[in-house]
Amino acid sequence: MMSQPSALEEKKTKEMTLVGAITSGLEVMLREDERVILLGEDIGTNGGVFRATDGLQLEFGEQRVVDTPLAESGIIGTSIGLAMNGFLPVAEMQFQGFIYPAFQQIVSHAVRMRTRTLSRFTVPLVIRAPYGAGIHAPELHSDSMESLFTHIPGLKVVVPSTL
Amino acid sequence: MAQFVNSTRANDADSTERYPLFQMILPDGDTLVDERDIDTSLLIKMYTKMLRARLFDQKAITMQRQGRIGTYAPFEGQEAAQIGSAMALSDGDWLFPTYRDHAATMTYGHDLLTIFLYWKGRIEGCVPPEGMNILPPSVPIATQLLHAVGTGWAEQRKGTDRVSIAYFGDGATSEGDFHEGLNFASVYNTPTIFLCQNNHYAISVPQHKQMKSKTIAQKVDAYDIEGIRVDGNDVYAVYTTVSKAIDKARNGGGPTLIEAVTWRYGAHTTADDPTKYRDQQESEARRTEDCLSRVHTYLSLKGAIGDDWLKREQAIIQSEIDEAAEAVDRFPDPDATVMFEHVYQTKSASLIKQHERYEKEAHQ
Ligand SMILES: Cc1ncc(C[n+]2csc(CCOP(=O)(O)OP(=O)(O)O)c2C)c(N)n1
Ligand SMILES: [Mg+2]
Repeated sequence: MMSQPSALEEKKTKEMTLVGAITSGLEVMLREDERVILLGEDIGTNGGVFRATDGLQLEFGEQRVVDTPLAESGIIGTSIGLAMNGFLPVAEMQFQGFIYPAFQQIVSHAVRMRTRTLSRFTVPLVIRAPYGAGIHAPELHSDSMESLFTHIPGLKVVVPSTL
Repeated sequence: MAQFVNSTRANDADSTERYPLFQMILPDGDTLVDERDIDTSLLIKMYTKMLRARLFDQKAITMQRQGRIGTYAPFEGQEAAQIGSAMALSDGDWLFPTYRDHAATMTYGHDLLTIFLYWKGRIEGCVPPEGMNILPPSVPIATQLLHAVGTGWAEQRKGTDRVSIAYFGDGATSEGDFHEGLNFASVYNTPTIFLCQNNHYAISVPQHKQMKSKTIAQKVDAYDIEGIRVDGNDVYAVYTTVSKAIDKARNGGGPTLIEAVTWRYGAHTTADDPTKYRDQQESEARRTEDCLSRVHTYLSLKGAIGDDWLKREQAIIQSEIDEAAEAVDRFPDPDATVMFEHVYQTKSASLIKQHERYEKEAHQ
């Protein structure tokens, strides 16, 4: 990381929505570390279906904020390769309810590569997956299966919230 | 019935004609190319490596029977596909093997002890020599194709000329990750070589039950990338094909799918009985197309190797293999506390607690 004061330090406290806070966090990381790369479905031009990456492609370009093909296992599997080879991918699963095709990649590879290779290869990967109800989405869009993931060694499950 | 007037399929040439089998040295030692295209000293090197792999494979099966290692996946018959391709790689390239690709990994840089250790269930068997990008065998079928796309993409973005190669089988082409891998590689034009060893079986399921397409190479039609079908038992043809694909990838030409047509003589693993699903006599008859014997015939006819060459090489290789096998037996037991390390970069509070409790109770 760079020695300049981060955007967060400069800004001090500011009121924003949760999703706005996520956008801001991503923006800070994209600016501070050129290894950071965002991948996901509709995250570029459209800014993500929840707008979590709103404006980021415009600011950082198509190489850093990448609209991927519609394939969750593909997004995570490719991100694993990028992460093993010097990048810090942040992959968006459009809805947590659609993360399941990537389950194998997460459980068998992303979290296990460090252990299997005695830390020779590591996978510094962030996966974002929106969950829960309240947005009047169709069925299967509101799955809250984060508890499944808390049972997987090598993975950290983090939920942003207000204090 | 209405006709699909725009369908091109009926007029298409047979896919085996659109993707013809590339061969250089035939089973009887004859060549289909100008002999000046075959570097004899390189071919001798390839032969030596194939011999080493085959003797290793035989030793591993014996060791499994003796209870010295666990279940093992033999590759006898597939040496040329693996070694011809691995010899085309350079330092810094990325190799993603499956459980059956030890002829490739030992050619690119793994030592024999490491491979034996893998089959003894030891984590050390997954760790390549320092600085070498050989990944652990991928066990969930086809998952590694996407990793090879990712590491290749990373190289492309860094502006290097390094490439990734992913090994997989015919059965793997039915998995979603195969198609997602080809599609991502196509979309981002990544320097990735997809090396499919079509040994005609996925455990017990033959190719004709796995897919309706006559070739695997033709699956690239959907992704608009190059597909090539090569005689996987012709080491020089594999080497030549993969070298060209790598050269193309290094120069920004993107991915290639290579179907190496081959055969495994033995069981899927030492836990399986192939007589239940195929005629093993017919399988043995395939030895007339063997990858080692055709090279032996070619080199003998040329007078490049003498009568005693094989015996002499075998003796040297066998002693290397036997030494590695004994080193496995002597390899120190694992330290159980290693299970608490290498899970996270920084140990979590609960992991520290578990570790402390283990230390306390394990020695009571
Ligand atoms: C995702 C997944 N499903 C099933 C298996 C069990 N399995 C192991 S090997 C294998 C067959 C693979 O066939 P192929 O891709 O042709 O490779 P080969 O074993 O012939 O080298 C199967 C079904 C697995 N390892 N991973
Ligand atoms: Mg197979």
